[in-house]
Amino acid sequence: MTTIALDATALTLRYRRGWGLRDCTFQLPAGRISALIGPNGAGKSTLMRLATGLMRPTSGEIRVLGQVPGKHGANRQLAFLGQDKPLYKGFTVEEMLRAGAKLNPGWDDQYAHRLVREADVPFDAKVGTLSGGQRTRVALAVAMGRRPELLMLDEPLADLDPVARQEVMQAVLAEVAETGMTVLLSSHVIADLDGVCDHLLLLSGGQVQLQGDVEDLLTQHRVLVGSRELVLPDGVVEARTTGRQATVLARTSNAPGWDNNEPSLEELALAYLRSAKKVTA
Amino acid sequence: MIEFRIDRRSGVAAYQQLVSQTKHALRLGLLQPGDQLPTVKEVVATTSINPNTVLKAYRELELAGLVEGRRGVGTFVSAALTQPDADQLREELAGWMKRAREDGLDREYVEALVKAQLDLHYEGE
Amino acid sequence: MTWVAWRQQRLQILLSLGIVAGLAALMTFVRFDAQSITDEQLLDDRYGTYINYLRLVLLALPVLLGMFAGAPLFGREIEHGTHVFGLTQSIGRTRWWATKIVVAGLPVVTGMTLLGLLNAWSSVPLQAVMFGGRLVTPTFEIQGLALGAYTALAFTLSATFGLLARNTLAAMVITVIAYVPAIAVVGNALRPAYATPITSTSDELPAGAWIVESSYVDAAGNPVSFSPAGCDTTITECMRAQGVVREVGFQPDERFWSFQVIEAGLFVALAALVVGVGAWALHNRLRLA
Repeated sequence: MTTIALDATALTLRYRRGWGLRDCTFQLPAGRISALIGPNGAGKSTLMRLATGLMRPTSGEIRVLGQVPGKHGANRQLAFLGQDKPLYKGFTVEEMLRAGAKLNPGWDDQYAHRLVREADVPFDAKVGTLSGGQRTRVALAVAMGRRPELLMLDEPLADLDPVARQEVMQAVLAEVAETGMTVLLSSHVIADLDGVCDHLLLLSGGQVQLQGDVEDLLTQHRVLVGSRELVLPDGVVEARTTGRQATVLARTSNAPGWDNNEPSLEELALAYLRSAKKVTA
Repeated sequence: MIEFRIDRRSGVAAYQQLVSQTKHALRLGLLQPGDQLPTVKEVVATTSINPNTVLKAYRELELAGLVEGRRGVGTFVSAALTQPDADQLREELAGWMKRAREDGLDREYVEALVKAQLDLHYEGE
Repeated sequence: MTWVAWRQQRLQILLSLGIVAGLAALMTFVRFDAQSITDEQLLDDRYGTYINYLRLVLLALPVLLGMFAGAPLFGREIEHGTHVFGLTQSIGRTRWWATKIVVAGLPVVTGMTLLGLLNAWSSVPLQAVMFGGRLVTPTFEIQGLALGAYTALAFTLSATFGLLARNTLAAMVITVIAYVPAIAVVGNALRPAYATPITSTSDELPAGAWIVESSYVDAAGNPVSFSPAGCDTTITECMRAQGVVREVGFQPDERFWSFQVIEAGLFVALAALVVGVGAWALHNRLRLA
């Protein structure tokens, strides 16, 4: 088994106007739950589509579990769930599972059926009649029935109500606990991913702003509050002043005179995203 | 068996919350040697946290000699968490509190004093 | 993938085959009924309207059924985003595409080919009351192998346009825009030249002959100009007076089947070309966005 699930080198995708991704180099470790965070249009979906082979990069390379996605469909060990959870609307849930079985050699039918049963979705219901939460659970069952090593979920919670959000997340995590598969999860709502993810890939404007182990990143950064007269430490990511007070997020462990605290994932991500926006603006 | 609860706004890392909740339950006798801790799957299914976080907490408890993992079965409590007799300390603290009240310190100030001392002496726990 | 494609397309396939089967039953009945009528006037009274409607239906049917099967094949799938599902499973994209084409296209093209052959058989007793011969538009287009070949082109056009335009309705519109001129150009410009016409100056041509060219010649056979405008007698007398005869080039009726084979081959080749464009689009255009 490879220790690197996704490995991108100078990955670039150019649209007719503007960039989808620009010179992205990153690695996602296997066996972890990685968060892909960024505002809408940051390139999150583009990145996933490149990994599945749905799109081809303009330049650079992406390797999925060691292989470049090619002509022969998606990597068999990779399951992808797109943002709008594409399923055939006219199919029943049972037929959808059958489609999964027909299209994937390593299909685990018992497992897929179990996941649907656990979600309390009737097998004879038409996919088009399901609620958003049920649809997502069925789509997950179809994706996980392939017994993938790597599961990529593009905004899986985007259109769900709070209860369904929690249920879907718990279902995913429970299966990760059991199978140890690698997960890449994108969201523009950082709170959804806090505590869930242990690896972070932060995208903005098609470029990687920050990547690494979440816990390491949090301990390497400090939220500093103090007088604006104080000397700024090295590694300032973002500094804001309100009256006499300054609030600084910096990649530092030592900032004498400042009141310093470990940032939350949200504080960390937002500081990087805001400063990226300022640079491009 | 106990159920964990994760407070995401507490600022305390999730794995530390798991460790301290387990220790708390051991202290109160809610968990006793031989009892099983919830499986990783059960924990993540109720708390929506990363399975690796749970594994990390269980590993820390194991290193502390409080629990032991049995492959393919689960994680079980192996030792009780007993504290040395604290009767005398409790009496001294009661005396101190009485004096603080008599000296006119208000409750919030006393709490802040205690917390500051706790932070000083139990740093990093 | 075959099952998945069949499950996705079965409604269209079954509906199309239902229409084809209904027409086939009607044609079979007509053949036996018309055969028993010997009086030409009676035959015309009973089947004149039938022939008109049948021409209308069979001229439209290849493009209608072809689009019905082809346009949504990729167009609707891309509209609904479900191609993302198909293309991220363990099967290759070529197999995904090819299976869908075969499963959706084969039944309707086969059905229409058989219907065309059946109509050739069914029309035999009606030939007497049809205008012109079997080679003349629109009689040529609605029987034999042509019907199936037209369907194949309409189907592949709409499937490929669906892939390129990513939209069912747009695929249908572009298909009609491309298909109608193709049929018209082939029928008017190419078909008369499938074989060298037989020339004749006789007034009596064999039955079912399709006149594809006509000119005026003198006794030696050299082309001359003749304008009936300058005549004060009947045209025939006027021509005789000037020593001019009318010479026609025609395609005889017995060339019907070889013409059918040529026409079908032409359209199948066009369809194959369109399929090639589709394969290119699958691997190059469907990668973006």
